[in-house]
Amino acid sequence: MADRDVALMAHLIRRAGFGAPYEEIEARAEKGYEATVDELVYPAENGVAEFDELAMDRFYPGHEFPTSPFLGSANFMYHMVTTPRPLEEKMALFWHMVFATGDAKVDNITQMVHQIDMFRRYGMGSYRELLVRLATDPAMIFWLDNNENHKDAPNENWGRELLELFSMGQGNYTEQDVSEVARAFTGWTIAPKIPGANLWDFEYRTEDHDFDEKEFLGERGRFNGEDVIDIIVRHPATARFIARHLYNFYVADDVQVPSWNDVPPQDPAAVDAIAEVLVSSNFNLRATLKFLLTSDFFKDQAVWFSKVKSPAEVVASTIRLIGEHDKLKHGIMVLNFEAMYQGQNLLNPPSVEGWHTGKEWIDGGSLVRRINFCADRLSDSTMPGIQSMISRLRGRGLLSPEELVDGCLELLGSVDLGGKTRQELIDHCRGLDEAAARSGEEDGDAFARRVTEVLQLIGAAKEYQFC
Amino acid sequence: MPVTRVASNRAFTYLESMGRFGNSQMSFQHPVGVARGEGDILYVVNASDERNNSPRITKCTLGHEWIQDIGVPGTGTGFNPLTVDMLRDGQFLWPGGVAMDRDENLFVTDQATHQVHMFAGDGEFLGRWGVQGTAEGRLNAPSGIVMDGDENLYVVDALNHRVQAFTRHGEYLSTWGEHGSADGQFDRPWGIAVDAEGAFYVADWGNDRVQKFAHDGEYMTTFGTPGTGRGELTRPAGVAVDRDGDVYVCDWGNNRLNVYNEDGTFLVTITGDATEPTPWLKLTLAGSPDVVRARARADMTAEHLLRRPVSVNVGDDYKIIIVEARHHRLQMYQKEPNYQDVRLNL
Repeated sequence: MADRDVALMAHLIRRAGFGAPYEEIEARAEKGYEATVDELVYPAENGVAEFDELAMDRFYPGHEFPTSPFLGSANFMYHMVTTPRPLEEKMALFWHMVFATGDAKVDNITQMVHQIDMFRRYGMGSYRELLVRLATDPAMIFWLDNNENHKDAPNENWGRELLELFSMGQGNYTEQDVSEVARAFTGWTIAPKIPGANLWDFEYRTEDHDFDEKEFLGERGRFNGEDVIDIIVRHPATARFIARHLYNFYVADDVQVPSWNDVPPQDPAAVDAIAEVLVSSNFNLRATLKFLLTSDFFKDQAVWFSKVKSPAEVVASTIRLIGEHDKLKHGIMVLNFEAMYQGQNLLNPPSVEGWHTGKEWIDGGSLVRRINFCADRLSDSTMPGIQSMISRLRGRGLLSPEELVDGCLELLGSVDLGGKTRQELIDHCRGLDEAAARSGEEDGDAFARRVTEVLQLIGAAKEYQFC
Repeated sequence: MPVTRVASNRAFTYLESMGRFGNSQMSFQHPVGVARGEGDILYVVNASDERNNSPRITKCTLGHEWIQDIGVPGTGTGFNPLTVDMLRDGQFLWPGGVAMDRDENLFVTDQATHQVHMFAGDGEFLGRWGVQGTAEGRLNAPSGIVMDGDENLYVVDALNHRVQAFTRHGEYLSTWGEHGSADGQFDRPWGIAVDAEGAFYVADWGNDRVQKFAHDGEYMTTFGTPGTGRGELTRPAGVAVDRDGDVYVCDWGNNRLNVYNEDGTFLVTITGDATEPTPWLKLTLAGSPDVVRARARADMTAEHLLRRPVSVNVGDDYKIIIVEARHHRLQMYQKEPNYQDVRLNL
């Protein structure tokens, strides 16, 4: 197996999932790139088991119907850490970041968990169907006030964000279009509910729906919500907007969404190509993802390690790598706390615009938290993933400082540390060798300590924050 | 209006429900097991959750009187959850089941410490035993637990997919079962019960069935097949046997209680009848008129039904107590063993 194949597979699994231990990367590379993409995009057809929701409910009480927002966020994080269907979960995270909904207002964490589950189940299907499900999702209805959108008193919040943030982007519609969308979604509401408790139900109230004629994006008719979604999906701006989101999430960091009208995509041809597949596939996201993940612009080595990991990715990828939750273990809420401390409180984005990504994930406090978390976890030799790395490196015999550093980088997923940082690590290892030679210390534990020290230093390097 | 289900000369009548969500005193939090003491005393084991950090045993009465909380309250906070390393004597973290001896001493399994924690009925901590591992006598996420007539303990060693017998002091006696789906094998089993003849019934959670074993661990028979239909099971959790040999299975995945006769013939299903708030919940509602009004408008059907019944206890008085984790309460029924349908001459 060529190193390049393994490194490319590591890139794919970082982006289309949350990373993996070296053994899995190697096995997938052996299986082949195209076959792996097919398995990621079509897990059910390839016989990949679903996440065992019942086991989670048995062993982690309070996460199915959470009694606290933190338990709901932990539910999502635990899926990312242990899912056998990583792309499905990655798409759930993608849609959570695009269709950003927050429990701070919804105040019903169980409903939020169900929204994420909806993204998980339908996030790789038809974008048009996903928009319809979103429009009937009780958490979204409450989040954007569509339960206050009445025939005689329209509320434009949902209609505006549907156009601005969820489908077309600013500049492609008028204020009149926003009003017409709001009218089309009157009567789309929630059944009577108990505040903050139990699941809510979508309810369509015909008596509160505006059945009069509307004019939207140049088309006239007695449009209801689904008609409006059909028109939105037909508009060329929608394919471009979703394509740019997919490029930003899977290929390379872009500027923040509010700047998209002013700053062109960094690879317009790639965004256009994704948009074309969206249109030609009738907005089938599986077909689009398969195209994206097998494209030359995705495989291009120039985009490897060019994206700043989101805090959720930092936590999930590190925990998967070290195998901390390969076996049942008490304590999953701390994982979500870690992402929260690093700046991403899952199920509670800062606004409907979602989180600002890329370099904006990083500030002084969050960077220190990231580095401490990664360095701490990667130096824990009790973790099965770390023990496996030590064992593999030990099996390579006596290693020079260069071989030790390069071996650690390879086992962490072919991490590209850059010449200067790599050389500093090699020099550090050489110093450790010389100190050990002077003290006469050279036993199995000393080797393990040296490996974990190198892993810790790599985890503390800025390069480890990229994927 | 009492709800009664009748099958094969038996009647099962809904009595009432008990509990509400809370961290202490008159409340339960993800309860996973119940033991009945002398008179109308109940010991309800609460798993709590990571956020609330209050695994404990609620000692109370069938008459809704709270007596005491057993188990030292968690020392963690929501942002610094309790972990195994932080446990002090008297604390447990991740309970899976409870057994009780004749002197009303309690034996609580802890899936986090892989131990059995022992308490006297008055709350005194008596010790704990167990070591994590896969060898005979070692435990890996112990869940269900039951005591036989000789006062030996039978622990469902869930993630080792077996049942292990110990003395009450933790001395290893025997093991049966292994991972698999054939007769006598298990997939993450959960609850266990023993009948008057000393036979064991094990809820084979991952295999969607209940298996019956002789006292020496020899496989005897299987109850239930996977599914959602009559008498079928999806992820059964708890199991109990009454003095007549009827077997009660918490069909956890299907959110119901299935009752079988001693041959395994399906008799009846109970899906929950808690149409009235519990007395403890009424105390909460009394201070929340807005919530009362909201409840009057909303469809509350889901709250009336069982959701995640985890374990069941059936006393010699035929009182059936179903522990319902999701709704943090107990639903109670009464069996009439020799019920004759009233023949109305209409």
